[in-house]
Amino acid sequence: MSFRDELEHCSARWVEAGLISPDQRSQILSFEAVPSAVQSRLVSIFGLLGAIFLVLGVLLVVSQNWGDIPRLPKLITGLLAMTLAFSVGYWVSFGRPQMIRIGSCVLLIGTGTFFANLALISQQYNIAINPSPLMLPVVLTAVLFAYLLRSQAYILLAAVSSVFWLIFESQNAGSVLEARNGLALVLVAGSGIWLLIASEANRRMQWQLFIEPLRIVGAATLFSAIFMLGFYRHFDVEIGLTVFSVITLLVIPLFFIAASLLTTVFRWEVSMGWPSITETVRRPVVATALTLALMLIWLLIVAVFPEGITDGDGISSAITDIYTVGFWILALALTADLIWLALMLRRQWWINMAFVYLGFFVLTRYFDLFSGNLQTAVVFAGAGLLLLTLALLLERGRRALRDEMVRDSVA
Amino acid sequence: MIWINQHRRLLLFSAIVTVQVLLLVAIVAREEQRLTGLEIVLESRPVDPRDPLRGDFVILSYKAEDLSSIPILNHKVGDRIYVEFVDHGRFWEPVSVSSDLLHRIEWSEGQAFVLAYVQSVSPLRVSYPDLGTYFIPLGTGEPPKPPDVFVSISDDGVARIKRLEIDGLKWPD
Repeated sequence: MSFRDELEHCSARWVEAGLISPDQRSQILSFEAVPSAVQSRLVSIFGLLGAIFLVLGVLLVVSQNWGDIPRLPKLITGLLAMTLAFSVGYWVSFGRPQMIRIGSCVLLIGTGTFFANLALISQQYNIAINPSPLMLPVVLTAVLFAYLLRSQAYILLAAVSSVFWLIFESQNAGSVLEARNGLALVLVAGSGIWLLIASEANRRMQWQLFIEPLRIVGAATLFSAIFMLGFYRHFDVEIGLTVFSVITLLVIPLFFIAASLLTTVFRWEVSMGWPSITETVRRPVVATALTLALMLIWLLIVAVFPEGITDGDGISSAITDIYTVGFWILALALTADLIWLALMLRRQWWINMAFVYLGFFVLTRYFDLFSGNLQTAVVFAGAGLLLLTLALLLERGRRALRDEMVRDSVA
Repeated sequence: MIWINQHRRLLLFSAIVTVQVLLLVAIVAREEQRLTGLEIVLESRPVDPRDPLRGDFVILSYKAEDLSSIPILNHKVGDRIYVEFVDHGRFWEPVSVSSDLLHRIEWSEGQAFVLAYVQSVSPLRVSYPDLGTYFIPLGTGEPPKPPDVFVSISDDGVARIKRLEIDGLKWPD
C-alpha cells in the first residue's frame, strides 16, 4: 500500500473517530497530494543521477593516471575526498539540515570515492586486473550502511554490486567461485534466488523498506540469467563448477525455497512467526516457489553434468539441447507465475515487465530457430496450442458462469 | 554511557568509515613495503589495451613464464609454487621451482624466489600474480620496444612491478 493510499485509509478512520474534521482531512490530503509526491521523487531521481555522474567523473579522473603526480599525494587526496563526502553526507542526513535524500546521495558519493580509491591503489601498484577484489569491500560496506542508515539506495547498491562482484569473481582463475564458458550464468541465477530469499527474510524482520529493492534486483538477475542460459546449446563448456559454488549458490537456496514451499502449502507461516499470506495469493506463491525449486534442481543438474552424458567423443548435443529447452520452459513458467502474482497483488507494472520479457524471449528464440534445430519450432507450436487451449477453457468457464446468471435472473 | 546510547548510529557509522580508511591505508602500506624488496629485471613482450576503471595499461608476458626446460616436481594446474631466479647479467632468469619458500636470510647473493601459479604441467608454464599488467597515463600508446621490467620481490616472494625501462630510460617518462 502506498503512503497516499495509507493516508486516505487512516484519515477516514480519524474522521470517524472524531480526531479530525472532514475539512482538516481534505486539507491534509491536499497537502500530501501529487505535487509533493512528485517533487519528493524528483529529489531522489536528480540526487541519485547527480551522485552517479559525479562518481563516474571521479573514476575517469583516476583512469587518466596522472603520471606527473607522485603516488602518495594522489592517495592522500583520495582519502580526504572520501572522508569529506562521508562526513558531509552524514551531517546533511542526520545533522541540522535533516535532508535524508540528498544526504543519502552524498553518502553514495563517499562509497563511490571508496571504490575509486581502491581502483587508484590497484592502478598505482599494478595489482589485480580483475575488479572483483575492488568490489567486495564496496558490497560489504554497502550492506552495513544499508542497515545502519536504513537506506534503500544502499540496499540497491549492495544488491547490484554483489551480482557484479560474483560475475567478476567467477572469471578469476583459481577462485572457489571460478566458472568459465558461460557457466557463470548458473551462479548468477543462484544469486538472483538468494536476493529473493533475502527480500523475504526482510519481510519476516519487518524491514519493509528493503523488500522491494531486493525483489526487483533479484527478479531482474534471475530472469536475465535464465534468458541467457536459454542459449545453452551454443555454450562451449570445458570445466564444470566448483563444489563450493554449487553448495553455496544452488543447494542452500534450494533448501530455503523447499522450506518456503512446504510452509506455504501447509499454512505454517503464522505459527512460525512469518506474516500471513492471504488465500487469494497463496496459490500463485506456491506456484512460484515450485517453479523456483524446479529451476534450482535443473541448474543443479546442469552444474553437476555441464556437458551432459558424453558418448566418449566430447559434448553430447542431444543433452545440451534438452538443457536449452528446459531453460526455455522454466523461463515461460516463471513469467506465467509473475503475471499471476501481479494480477493477485494488483501490480500493473509487474505485468508490463513480464510482457516486455516475453516479447524479447519470443523475438530472440524465434531467430535462434535459424541455428537449424527443429525443437524450436516444436516449442513454439506447443506453446501456442497450450495457450489456445487455456484460453478456450477460460472462455467456456466464463460462458458457463454467464448462462448460470441468466438462468438465476429468469428464475 | 548515555552519550554513547544517544550517538550509537554516529559511532557505528564512524567505525565503518574508519575501517574503510584503515583498509585503504593498510593496502597502501603493504604495497609500499613490497616495493622496497629485492629488485630484479625481467624481459617482456607487451601489448596495450584499456581498463574502464584504471585507464590504459600494457599487458606483459615473460620468457620466464615458460619453464619447459626445468624438471617437473609433483605439480598440478593451479598449484602455488616458488620459482628460483638467478642474476644472469642484464636479466634474471628462472633455474628451478620448489613448493616451499626459503627464508629470506637464506637467499644467497644474486638469488631470488618469486611466487607463481602453475598454468600447465607438460610443458611447465606458470603465471606470476600481478606482474601481467602495468598501468600507464592515458594516451601514452604502446612502448616502442619490449621494456625491461624492474620488479621488487618482498620477503614472502610476492612480486610487484616498480618501473619499466627502455634502453636504460624510464618508460613512460
